[in-house]
Amino acid sequence: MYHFRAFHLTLLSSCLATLLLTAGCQHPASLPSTWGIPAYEVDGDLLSIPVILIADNQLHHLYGDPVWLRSGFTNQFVPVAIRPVQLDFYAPDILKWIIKSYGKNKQVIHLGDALNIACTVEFDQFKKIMSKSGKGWVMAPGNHDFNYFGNGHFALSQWEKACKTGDGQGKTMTKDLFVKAYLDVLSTQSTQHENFGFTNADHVDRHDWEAAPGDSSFVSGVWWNIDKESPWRSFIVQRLNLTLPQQASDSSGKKASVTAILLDTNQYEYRPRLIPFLSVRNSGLTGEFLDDQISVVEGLLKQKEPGDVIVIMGHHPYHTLSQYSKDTLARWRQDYGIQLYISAHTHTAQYFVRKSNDVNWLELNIGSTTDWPPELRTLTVSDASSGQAAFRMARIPLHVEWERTQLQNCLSDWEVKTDQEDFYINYRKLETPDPKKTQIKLMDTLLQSYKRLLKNVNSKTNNKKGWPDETSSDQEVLQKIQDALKDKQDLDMKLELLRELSIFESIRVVDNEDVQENFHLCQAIWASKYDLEGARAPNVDDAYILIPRR
Amino acid sequence: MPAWVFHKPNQELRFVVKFFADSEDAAAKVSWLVKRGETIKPGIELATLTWGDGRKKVLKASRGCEGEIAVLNRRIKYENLDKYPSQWALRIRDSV
Repeated sequence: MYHFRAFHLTLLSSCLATLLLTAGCQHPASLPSTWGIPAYEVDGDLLSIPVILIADNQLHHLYGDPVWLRSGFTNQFVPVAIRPVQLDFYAPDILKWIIKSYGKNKQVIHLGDALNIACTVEFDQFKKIMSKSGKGWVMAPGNHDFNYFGNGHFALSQWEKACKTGDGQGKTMTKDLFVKAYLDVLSTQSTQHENFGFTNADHVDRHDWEAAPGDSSFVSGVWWNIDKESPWRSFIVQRLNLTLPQQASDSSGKKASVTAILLDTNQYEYRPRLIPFLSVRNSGLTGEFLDDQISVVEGLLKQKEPGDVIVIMGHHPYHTLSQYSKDTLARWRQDYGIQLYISAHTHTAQYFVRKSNDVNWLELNIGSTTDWPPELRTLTVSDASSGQAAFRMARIPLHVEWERTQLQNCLSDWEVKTDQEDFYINYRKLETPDPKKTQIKLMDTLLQSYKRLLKNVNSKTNNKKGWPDETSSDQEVLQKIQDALKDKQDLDMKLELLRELSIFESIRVVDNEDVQENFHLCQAIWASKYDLEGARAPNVDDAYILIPRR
Repeated sequence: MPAWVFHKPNQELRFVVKFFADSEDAAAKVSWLVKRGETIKPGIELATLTWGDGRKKVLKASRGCEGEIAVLNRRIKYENLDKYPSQWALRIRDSV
């Protein structure tokens, strides 16, 4: 009895101490009893079109000049400053695979962090991949899309160096440029029936576009502000019409509209910086939206009619928003009956049950398509006979999908083992504060990876496309790579060759395109998985292990 | 091409992957018109398939699909109906 009481006293005091320190010892919030968590799909008419939700692919420009944020030393403190170069190089193939496999006949909603450093060249690569989606795509901006390495608007000369390209075209993607570039893409897509009706040059002067009444475009309205003087104050809000065409009417003849509002949680009062201080944010840590954007969104919410379904989507999870933004979102939820908030940013798929104004509500958080375990979601809304809206938010963990297909194509010989120089996570051993030495090491690893690629995925002997300077066969390319690896100092030469190889790989004609696609995906899979584990170790879902026998 | 066929050894209706792969639109929902325990026979309307553009298609019990419904699949992965392996839709109670 004494021990029992002592145990509880200890527990209580521990809890109180923790409570003081971290507001801990609270029970996780539960959903109200009027909400359901059925194990199966309930009956009821479909109200929405099906859409794909993805986020956080973080395409990375590999061939910029060295910068101090990407030194081995910095990476010891900022664990995501560097990823395996194989992941940076091959992760776009995961995105391509997703778009090919799931984006053929559904609109794709990307919840931000398409880019990593925030370079125009990253956006160019991203939009090229996304252009393959059959029904178009939209995105809510993420902190990595226009803030230097996702942190803020600072270190401009470093940022420019990181975005440098061989042809001098590489530029930093600041927020004002991003909104403009994104509007350019949006205006040429099939996501709206009517075109924007104005030329790209007008983006800065215009601030809104709305589909004509009765137009059933997927993108039904866009509101934005481009602030060249203070780019971080720029914003873009989009209204998506998810209502199912030919939807059945209810008993009163009304059809329920299903609307998504893409919020911009990366709009800041003050220039975001690496070190946050008072109201100066680090955009990786805190999301924010300002009164001009709030006014736009409230105007949209006021149009809601009883029975309509509204979902708000934004990059930052609720708990990472500034207090003012959190209060605003909570007020919208309460005043306008928003059913769901969908966010990204954490790279970990999860639901959050939130509590605001004494009401508990739900947030769906989407994982990354690049970091393990990569995933996407599909979203549909149906009418439940109980008067609820039945959301179907099916998670598609890619490693589970790949078990049936791609993973079985990953040949053991393709994997880089721990005793090899280019093992995926060897970058973690780098401790040098010198960004150039770090960059040389990373580029050497990538050159090694190219060697592996060319040995396993042969070019057709009659290939005429993309050969690097003074080469016309795989053997000559391999020799050129070997020569570049011998030189331990000349980073410019390595970068130049890697840029050539990048073009070569994207256009060369190979003996077997399936093998090429599989090799790319398998490298991304191994790099992503081992990067999560921090070692060449099996993931909890790995079923097959080979163990030596004596 | 049918949306599903009856697989006699397993006593189950299975979706036909090619039917969905050849479709321009995405399958978005299957609403069952029958319940577990009901007895069905070929030609009976079993479900309504709703496409992503709102079109609907009634799915009927196919040849050989006869008996008491043991279980309905209410966790269909619509996004994978156009991919192998095919998914089961309905199982008939084994008479053995």
